[in-house]
Formats: sequence, structure tokens, C-alpha cells
Amino acid sequence: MREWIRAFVGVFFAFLGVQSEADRRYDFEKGRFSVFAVAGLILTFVFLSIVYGLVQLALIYVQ
Amino acid sequence: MTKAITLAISLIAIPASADWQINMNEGVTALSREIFDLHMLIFWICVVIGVAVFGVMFYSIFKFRKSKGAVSEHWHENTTVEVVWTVIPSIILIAMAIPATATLMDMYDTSEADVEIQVTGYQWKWRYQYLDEDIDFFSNLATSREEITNEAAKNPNYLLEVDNPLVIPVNKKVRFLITSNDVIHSWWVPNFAVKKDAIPGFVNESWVKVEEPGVYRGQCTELCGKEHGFMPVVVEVKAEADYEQWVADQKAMKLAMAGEASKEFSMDELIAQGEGVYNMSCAGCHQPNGQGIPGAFPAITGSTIATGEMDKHIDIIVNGKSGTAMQAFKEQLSAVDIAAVVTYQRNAFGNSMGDFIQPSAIQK
Repeated sequence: MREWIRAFVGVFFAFLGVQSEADRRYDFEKGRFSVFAVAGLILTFVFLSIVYGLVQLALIYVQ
Repeated sequence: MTKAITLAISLIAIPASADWQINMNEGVTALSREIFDLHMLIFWICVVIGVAVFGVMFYSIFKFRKSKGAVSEHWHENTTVEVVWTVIPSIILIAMAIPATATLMDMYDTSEADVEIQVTGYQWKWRYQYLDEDIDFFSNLATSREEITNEAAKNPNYLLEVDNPLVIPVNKKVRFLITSNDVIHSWWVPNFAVKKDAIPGFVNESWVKVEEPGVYRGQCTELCGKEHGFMPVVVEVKAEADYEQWVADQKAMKLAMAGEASKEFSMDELIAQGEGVYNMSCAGCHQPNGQGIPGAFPAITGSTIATGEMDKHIDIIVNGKSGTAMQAFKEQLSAVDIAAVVTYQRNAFGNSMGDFIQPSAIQK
């Protein structure tokens, strides 16, 4: 469970483009590729949902 | 002293600001004002950000300068600061996108138009076709060649005047379907705010609802060849009754023109009319003196076409010549205009064929 949380946090910060050198090193040395790939796919879906939601919000504002 | 300087600056600034502007036009439509307001909102957001960022930067440079003994820090990262400067701009961008989306949605809402007009770009003129009325005409530059070549004084609407302006009614939603016959042009009237590319094979849409009758001028804004600067847009916005009258006049004029085509003209009448048609439609390439531009546009003087068979001469004007810049004029000129310009070209610029053709013999 702890590995999954770390992976999600790592991918989230990768989305932001911000990560400390120590965490990056930890992720690359201890993390498993498959866990990061799944976390990446899930957060991509979350990101797209947020963009979609923001567009819907803008459309509500328009009408 | 400070008061004197302020007064001097304001005295210089007031007449200067009346003569020219660097900000965009506020325009004459609700949409143009909406775009202007959005532009100003984004502008002031950028000003605030600029002042804050550069303020901190310049203050830091000044306060912590080397001569005061400042020593630079050496550290690699600060995740908190990086997150803050990533998240805050994202929030600002999203906040700006919301009113921008509202304006864009309005710009693209061409539904429920009262009048629909197809605007087609040609090298180098505009064609306006009223889709609900049987009105179809070309709008050519009306500035004289003498003004362009500095042989006459330039009038205030120099290069912004046409023979047939686009006419639309005030307070009615007018939808434009914008396309092109040859290369990419762009139809733009600054007071209407929206500018649209005219692309061959594509139809772009735009709309306008002008609140003030008047004459509004614009230009082609996509480099489209030699006479790109010579195809202005002029829109005359009329009160509804005046617009209805104009529509009736256009229809009457079309009937009269149809009658003209069957009339018999003398050679002198055709040459007189042909000179005007030539200057409007041919002189741009073949030049006002008929000498053309060697290597680009052939001369009319001594031309094998203008001094050859009449049928071939008419054919090249009516249908153009593929693979060259010679366009087909069958849509642009009436039978009378074609007969006139053919007759003129065969009997002007040193050509003296002595023959002429009647409009009724022109097969379009």
C-alpha cells in the first residue's frame, strides 16, 4: 500500500513538473515500473476528467 | 518644477493621443466591445503580474547588491516554492479561460441570422452574394491609379474605398460565409473585431450585428499577391428602410443590366466603357499603359490575343488561362463589360484592329 501511495505522489508531482532530487532518486531505485505505469494511467484519466470538468464549468458560466 | 513637467507632458500627450492609438478598437458591435473588455481584463491581469514579478526582482537586485556585501545562496531545490509558482499560474490561466470561452462561444454562434452573405476573395477584389436575395456583385478598389502612382493627391480614404460597398442593415444579425476563389485572403473590418481567413475550398463563418449606421472600412489581411494592399473592404450599414430600398434598387439594376446586354452599342460607346473596365479589372496586371510587366504579365500592345482572332480574345477573358495568373472573368464582368473591354483592348494601346463586338454575341 505504501508503495502505491508513493507511486501516486511521484506521478502527481511529475504532472506538476516538480520533484525533489531525493524523492526522484528513491522512486527510480525502489519503485516498480508496473506500479508507476498503473498510477500514470489512473492520474491521466483523473487529469482529463478535471479538464473536462473545467470546460463544463466554463460552459455553465457562458450560459 | 514637478507641476511644470507634468503640465508639459500632458500638453504633449493630449494631441498625440488624439492622432493615433496603439490599443485595439472598441468597435461598433456588442461582440466587439465584449472582445475589447476581455482584452483589457487580460491586459490588466498581465500588468499586475508584471509589476509584481519585476517589482520583486528589481527590489531584490537593488537590496541585495554585491556592493552591500550580499552573498548568494547555494541550494538545489525548494519543492514548496516550485509547487507554488506552478499552481498559481495554472489557477490564473484557468480563471482567464472562463471569460475567454464565453467570448469565443459568442463569436462562433452564427445561428438565427437575419441576413446571410457569402464573401469570396479574388485576386484582388471581394465578391458578395446575398444568399436570400438575388444579389451578387464584386467590390473593386476605387482609388485611382494616379493617386497610387503619386501623380494625384491622395484622398482621406486612399486604398480604403471601393466601387460597390457591401451593404447591410443596422441592428440585424448578418452571417458571413467566407471563402476564396484562388489564394488565401482574409476579410477584416477592425470595427467589427472579428477577422476571418478566406480559404479556397473551405467556408469559414463569422457574424456581425452593427448598432450604428455608417461606413466601416477594412482590408485584406492575408498576403495574397501583387495587389494585396489594393482590395479593401467597405461596409455600408444602413437603417432598415434604406436597406430595403437598396435591395429593391439592386434588383431593378440587375433587370436593367439584363436589358442592356441585348442593346446595340456603337464602337465609340464600347471603347469608352471598355477603358473604365480595363482600368478596374485589367490594369493591375497588364498595367494602365497596356505594356504589362515583362516576364510576369504580357503586354496588350501588339499582343497576339488582342490583335488575333476575336473568338480567342473573348475566350481568354471569359474563361481565363489555366496555369497562369489570367483568371476567368465570366463571373466578374457583365456581357456589356466583356464586349467593351475586348473592343477597347483591340483598339487602344497602339492596337488598331478596327473591329468590335456586341454584348449579345458574348457567350458566357
